[in-house]
Amino acid sequence: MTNGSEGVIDATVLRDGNNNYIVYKVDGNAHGHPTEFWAALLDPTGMNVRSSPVLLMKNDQAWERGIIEGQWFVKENGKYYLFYSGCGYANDCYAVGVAMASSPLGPYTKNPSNPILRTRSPMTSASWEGPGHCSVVKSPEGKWLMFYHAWPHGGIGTKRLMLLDEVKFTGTWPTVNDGSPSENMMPDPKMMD
Amino acid sequence: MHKVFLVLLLWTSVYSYINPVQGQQDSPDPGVLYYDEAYYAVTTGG
Repeated sequence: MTNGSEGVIDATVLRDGNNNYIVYKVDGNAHGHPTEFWAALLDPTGMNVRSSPVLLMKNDQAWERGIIEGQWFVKENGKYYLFYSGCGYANDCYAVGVAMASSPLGPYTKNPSNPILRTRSPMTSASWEGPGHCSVVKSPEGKWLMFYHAWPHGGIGTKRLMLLDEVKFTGTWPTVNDGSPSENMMPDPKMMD
Repeated sequence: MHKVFLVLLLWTSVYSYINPVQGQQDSPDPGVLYYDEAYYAVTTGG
């Protein structure tokens, strides 16, 4: 999978019944261009592309600052949710947004209240900075869990640590914690009601 | 006093978690799957 000189990164697979789609980011931000997510149908082996790529999304919200990346798909309640990150990983503005569609190839509508997970403002000495590039997994107990990375407070450029918070699909749009990474002891997802 | 501490320690280890969940290893871009009763995390390096 290539795209001329722009570069292609962050490949993921969107599974929908018997259909598997490869979804990837065209790395336009590395060249001063818009950043885009594209998708194409894979053959049953998963080793060959079987359709022309379709544009799913491009950066167009202010908080993204010209960058979208790290896409991850979840199907819940008959809807397709595309979680992604924006703003650049080495900044405290790095954050997670979400878009929703009724079919796997869209059209996707972004949550107008994005981002849904961001650096706490104002920060505390325990606040995590630049949360993003998540994966969202359903636990055997039926809870949706978001695994993501973030920098320790004051530690941008050091190491990104893996954090966990629950995703709730109780409203029109999914939510994560109170909109920022948890900073205190949290209930184990196995025990959440 | 020690018994109280031990009970609290056991309770928090079983019924709660605190971030980061994987310790202090550099773990960018975590991709996590649940398979065969275990969570598997793949992260980016380099």
